[in-house]
Amino acid sequence: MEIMQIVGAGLVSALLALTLKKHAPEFSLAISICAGIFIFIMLLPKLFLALETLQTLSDSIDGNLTYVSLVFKVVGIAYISEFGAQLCTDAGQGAIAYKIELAGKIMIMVVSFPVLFALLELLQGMLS
Amino acid sequence: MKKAGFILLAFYLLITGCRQAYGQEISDQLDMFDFQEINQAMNEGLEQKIDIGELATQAIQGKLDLSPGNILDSIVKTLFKELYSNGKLIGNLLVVGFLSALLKNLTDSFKTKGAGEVGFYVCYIVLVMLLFSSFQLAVDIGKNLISLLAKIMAASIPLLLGLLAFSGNVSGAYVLHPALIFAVNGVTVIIRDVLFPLIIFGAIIRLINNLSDKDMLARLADFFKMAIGWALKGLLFLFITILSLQRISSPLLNQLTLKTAKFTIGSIPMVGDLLSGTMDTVLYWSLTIKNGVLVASIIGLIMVCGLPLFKLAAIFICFKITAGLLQPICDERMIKAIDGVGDFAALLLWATITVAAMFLFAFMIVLSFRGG
Repeated sequence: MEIMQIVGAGLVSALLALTLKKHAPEFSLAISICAGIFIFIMLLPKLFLALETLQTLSDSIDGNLTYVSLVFKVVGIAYISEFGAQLCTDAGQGAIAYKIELAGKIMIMVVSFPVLFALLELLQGMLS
Repeated sequence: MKKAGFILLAFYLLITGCRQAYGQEISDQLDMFDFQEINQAMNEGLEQKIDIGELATQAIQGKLDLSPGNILDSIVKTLFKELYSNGKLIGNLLVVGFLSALLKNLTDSFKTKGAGEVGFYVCYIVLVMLLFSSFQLAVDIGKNLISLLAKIMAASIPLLLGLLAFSGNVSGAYVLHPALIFAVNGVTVIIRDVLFPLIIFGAIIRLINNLSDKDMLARLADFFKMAIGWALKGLLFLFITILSLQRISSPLLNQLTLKTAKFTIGSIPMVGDLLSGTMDTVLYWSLTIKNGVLVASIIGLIMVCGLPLFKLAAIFICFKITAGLLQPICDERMIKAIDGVGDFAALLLWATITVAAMFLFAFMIVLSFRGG
């Protein structure tokens, strides 16, 4: 049960951070960041599993699903940017967190252009 | 009881006796007509070859096997076969739907909205491709059927009018000829080259409309749907009106021509009476033949139309079934897209049925002209 490990680690680090906050605030911040990274790493295999399942599912269709890998890219960008933004919020740097989120949004938009163009081209091709 | 049995027996003998004489006479008379062209045109769209001349002889002699059970059986079988052959399409659409639902689930956990949209677009591309390839197939089926029907009609106009003239409706044949050719050609061209592209266009507008959450082009697509529906109705009305008007106006002329002919023949001294009597008999013979050909050509037309219409119906039903199955799990926009294309597939089916019905009516109207 990985969820137990994750929740346990989260609770322990939360308690640690709480007790250290008064005496050494910078250490409490380090602890919360470490806990975040730990959870992130724990989650990665599961995320890959989900993506793999999607890949096998998409392979079973005749149609052109070359763009599915693009979705994975987008999911990765969203995941990482959100993670970074939350760490920054934890550190009390809301402005930086917002900027990271913005960067993530723009990145996703840029990455998703090809698929949007492909869709428009497809519809255009049908009309002619 | 005995008496009734006797009478029945007498009737039977009379009828069978007549039939034999009939058969000979009729096949002789039928030989006068050339069924080559119409047979050729009809057999282009059929796996099982048919012969209109033979069918007509069978119909006149009452040997045609038309039991409702048989017909129903083959209809149900064909429909299910077509649905089954479209199973792959349903399967693919369902998998795409599942995929999009999963992606939505995965990406909904992020704050960034864009992630979900990309997943939708990726699935939508595949969905559009799948939908459109089968829609294109449906368009091709419809177009081919309409072209084939036009060809059959063109091939059978000389035969029909020949029969008409033969059964004493000389002026009818004259009056109908241009009207028929105009109506058949006009309707075919309008439906195949104007309405079909409009239907495709409407379906694409539906697909584009669902790219975003908001209904941007839904009204335009609805307008297309409505306009096509009205155009079909109008065409059908126009077609029937043209033919019916001709039908109403020509008997007057016809009666006149026939009466004159009879009078002229009757006025020939000595043999005149006999000759005009013979003329009547010939007219009745040819009426029988005409009815036989009517039955045969209607059967032929139905056979030609049957399979393509079932194919179209199967594609339409597939779209609707898939939309229904995916509704609980899928993005609303995907459902709308599948359903919308299904609506236009229905229009396609309707247009094709309209053309088939028009040609059937044309056959019936022309051949049900009464001589004299």
